Formats: sequence, C-alpha cells, structure tokens
Amino acid sequence: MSKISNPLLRSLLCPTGIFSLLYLLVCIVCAVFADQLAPYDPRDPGQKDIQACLHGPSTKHLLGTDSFGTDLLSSIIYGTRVALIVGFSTGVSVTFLGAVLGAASAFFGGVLDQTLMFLVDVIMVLPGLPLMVLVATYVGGSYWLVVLLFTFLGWAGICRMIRGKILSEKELPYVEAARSYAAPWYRILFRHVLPSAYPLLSVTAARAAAGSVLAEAGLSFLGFGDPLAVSWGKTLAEAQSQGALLFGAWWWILFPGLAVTFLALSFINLGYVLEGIFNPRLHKGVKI
Amino acid sequence: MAGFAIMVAVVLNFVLIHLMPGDPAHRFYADPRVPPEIKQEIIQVFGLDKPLWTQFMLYLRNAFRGNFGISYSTQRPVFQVIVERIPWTLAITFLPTLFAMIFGIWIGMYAAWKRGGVLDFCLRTLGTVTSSIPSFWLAMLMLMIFSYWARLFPLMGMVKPGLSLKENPMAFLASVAHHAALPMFTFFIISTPGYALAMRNSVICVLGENYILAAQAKGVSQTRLLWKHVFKNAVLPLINMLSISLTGVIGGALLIEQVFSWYGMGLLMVRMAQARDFPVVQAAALITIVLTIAANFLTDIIQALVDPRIRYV
Repeated sequence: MSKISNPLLRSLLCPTGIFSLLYLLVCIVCAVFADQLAPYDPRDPGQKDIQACLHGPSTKHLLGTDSFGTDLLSSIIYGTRVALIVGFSTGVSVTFLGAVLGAASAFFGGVLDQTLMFLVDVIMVLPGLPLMVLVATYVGGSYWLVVLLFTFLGWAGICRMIRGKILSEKELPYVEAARSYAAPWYRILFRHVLPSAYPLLSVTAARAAAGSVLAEAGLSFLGFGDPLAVSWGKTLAEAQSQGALLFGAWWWILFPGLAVTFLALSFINLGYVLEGIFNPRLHKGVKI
Repeated sequence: MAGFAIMVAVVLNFVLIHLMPGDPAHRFYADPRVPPEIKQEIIQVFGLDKPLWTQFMLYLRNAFRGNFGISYSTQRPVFQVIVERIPWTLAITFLPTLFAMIFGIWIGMYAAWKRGGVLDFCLRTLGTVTSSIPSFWLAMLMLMIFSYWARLFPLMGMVKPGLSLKENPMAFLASVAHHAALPMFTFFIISTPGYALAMRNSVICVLGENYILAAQAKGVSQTRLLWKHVFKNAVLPLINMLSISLTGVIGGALLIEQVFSWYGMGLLMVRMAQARDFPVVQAAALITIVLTIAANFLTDIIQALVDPRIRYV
C-alpha cells in the first residue's frame, strides 16, 4: 500500500473504504438500471407470485417473497432509487447551506452572525421526527418532504461547526499575509479559508446523507412516505403490519434493513475517507 | 431563546392549519345538505369570520390554557387524550436513558484512558454501526430473536389483556415490566454508544490538560485520578449533550413504540395522523416540542449551576 503515491487511491484502498465505495456503486447501478436488473417489477400487481406468498429465499426468489407474493430482491433494487435520491440531495443541500451560512457568519460577523446563530440555536432544539410527522400529516408524504425538512433542520449544526472552524482559521498569519497583498475578500474566503474546512465538511455531509436515509426509512416505516414509491422503509412497514414477526418471515425483515444499514454505513465511512483525502495532515491515510 | 423557539413551534402549528385546503371547520359543513345559515353559524362559533390575527390570538390563548379542542376520532378533550399517554412513553424511555448515560460514561472513561486499546476500538466501531442502524429495524430484529425464536417476551402490547391496575396491581405491574423489557433494552442499546463516545472525546480533552500531568506527578492513584480529577471536568460538557440527545430519544420513541405497539405519545401521534385527527397530532407535536425546549432550557440552567466556568449573566 505504501507504494501507491496517489493520496486519493491510498485512502480509498483500505477495507472499509473499498467496501463502502463498492456498496455505493452497486446501489447506484441498481437505482439506474432497476428496470433491467430486477427480476420482477414490484409496482406491477400482475408480476406478484401468488403461488409463493411468504416463501423464504429460493432460486426463484433469491431473497424470498412477502405476503403479497412480491419478490423482495426486486423491491430492494427499486428501493435504492428513493434512498439514493434522498441521501445525495440532502447531503449536498445541507452541506452547501451550512457551509455558505457558516462561512458568511464567521467572515462578516455583526448582525448577520448574531441572527444566524440565534436561528441555529432555535433549530437545534426542534425534534426532527415529530415535526416531519406533523408536516407530513398535512402536506402528504413525499420523499422530497424529507429532503426539504432535513435541509431545514440539518444546516444548523454544520453552520455552527464551520463558523467555529473559520473563526479560528481567519486569525492565522497566512490569512493576514493574503490580506496584506490586498486579496479581495471572496478570494480569501473561497481560496484560502474555506478549504481548511473541507475535511470537516466531508464528514458532516456524509453524516447528513446517512441521517436522511435513516429518516426517510423511518418516515416511510411510520406510513408517511411516498405512497407511490417503492422504498426500503415501506417494505419494512409492510413486514410490520402484515405480521412478518408472527410468521417468522425473517427474510422480509432482515434484507431491507441490511440495505438501509449498509447504505448509511457506506456514507459515513466515505465521509471519513474524504476527510483523509482533504486533510493533508493525516499522513497515515484513513483511520476509522 | 427558549421562548422564541416555542413561539416558532406555535406559529408553525397555526400556519399548518391554515395551509390545509378549506378551513378548519370545513368537515362540519362539508355536507351539501347543511343549510347556509347553519354554515354561517358554525363559522361564527369557531371564530373563523374574524381576521387572521384575532384567530391567532384566540388560538394562542387556548393553547396556553391547555385547551386544544376536541379530538375528532375519540370525541374527548385533546389534552386529556395526550396526557394519558405521557407516562407510558416515560416508562420505556426514562430508565434506559438513565442507564445508558451511566454505563456510557463509565465505558467512555476507560476507552479514553486506554486510548487505542481493544475497548476503544470496539466502542468506535460500535458507535459508527449503531448510528447507521435504523432503530426500528433493530427493534424488529430484537422481536424476531427474543420473542419469535426464544419466546422470552411477548410480541406486542403493553400488558396482558384482562389485568387491571386496581384489582391486581402487582400482576399488572409485573406484566407491564415483562412487556416493557424489550423496548427498554432496545433503547438502551441504541443510546449507549452515543454517550460513551461523547464521554470518550471529552475525557481525552481533559487528559491532555496540565493539571492531570501535575496530579500524576504527585503520585495520585489511577482510580482517584480518573474519578476525582478527570471525571468531574469531563462530565460537565455532557450535560449539554443530554438536551440535544433528547430530540433523538423522542424520535426514537416514535419509531420504537410503533414496532412494539407500545401505546405512548409516539404511537398516539402516528395513529391519530392516520385517522386524520388533526387536533391531536398538532397538540402532540406542540407539546413534544415545548417539552424538548423546556428540557433544553433546564439543562442550560443546571449546567450554569454546577459548572462555575459557565456564566450566563
């Protein structure tokens, strides 16, 4: 491993890094080519195998079927779409909002800083899931709602962290040096100060992505998900309401849950890997 | 601050009612057979003919008096319906959270002391894993293992049917404890690594301080050093974490109650939302939010009281 000079490759080539990247790639491929990859279409009632309701894993249904005769492998493959859309879009939007507002707050200070930090304090204490249930009751379930609410609630923590980081960073001599040769503020902010927050940002972005995947699964599990979409949380909710526990249908519970867990794990681990890449001070590569 | 956050929640609640298609009393006169005079009367009784800000003031006045209206599905005062559920939620969340804190703090201390050791490694791995496991899925797995396969605990519910608190209190409580064991255990497993990791990081910070070096130099024993010098300084920031983890506990309760059919606040909210019983959902969300904010405020005060380094005045 020490022979590889490219830091990007070196960081990725640890067992957890490879596993996370592979799992994420598999998920992306599944989401894009779900129509081709899935053996059955879970949305089509005609393709439910009524002869094989609640059957365990077999050659015909690799991960078994649920009590309607839906092939679980197909449900899981189709479920990657919602999970990835929610995970990626929340990760990106939360990070973007948090970084911009945090940087602005630290850099410009004054009234802007005070207002933003007050907002952060307020948002940090709001319990997310009850709020989502409340809004979903009125507006109706949709996974975009999860993205929206998670962005609304999630930027606060990142904003506060980035603000702290940049506050300490902007007092360092190299920023003073940049100022001394009259670099404009946006150049100082975006070229000099903000990159120091990249390692922190990559970890928080990954956590936000993982958190939103879990929140979407939770919301669908409670029955507030998108009624038309196939999602892992919904599969688990059906397992709960159709009595998978009474019939001992472990495959119905185990596989969708593993899919969620691995996706969240992959996001978090990739966050650490990215941190290692962005942070030249971590010489030894990634430590997880 | 706390007051403002509560106001945000109240306003949000009020706005959500008015975001709905039609007005809040619509369900009472939606029937086309209702004559227009009666419709006017209904609107007047509900105060819907008044300007929006007057309606808001009325809503505010009633909310502060604990008057959240009548539940659509049960025809009882909303406040009463909700208050009945609070003890049940507390029953499965309070003890596990307390034990998780104590146990987490204890593990965190030793993980930090032997940094990079086996315990530390396990803790960090477990911390990452538990933060990516959906809590409700873990609960379902627990039910599968302990209730379906091992047949140790009941699959659902809160108490054996037929028992009542008045006639047979001992058997009632025993049955409740038997039903509550698995949800409590799940809660404990989910929340321990979080506290342990926070404690670990806090202890590591303290261990780098000069006064620890000084204590070691004068020959303080390990136990005394850990529990007398390190513990006191490291545990204080955790009080703050308690309040933030409270939002997690509430979210967790929502999901775990659903899995175990444990009829507390969380399940009430979900069931009433499915029954489109808006007043209950709204009031439950509002009460939850207000309680969270109040707890936050309280922990801030406690922290200022016990930690002489923090002064808010």
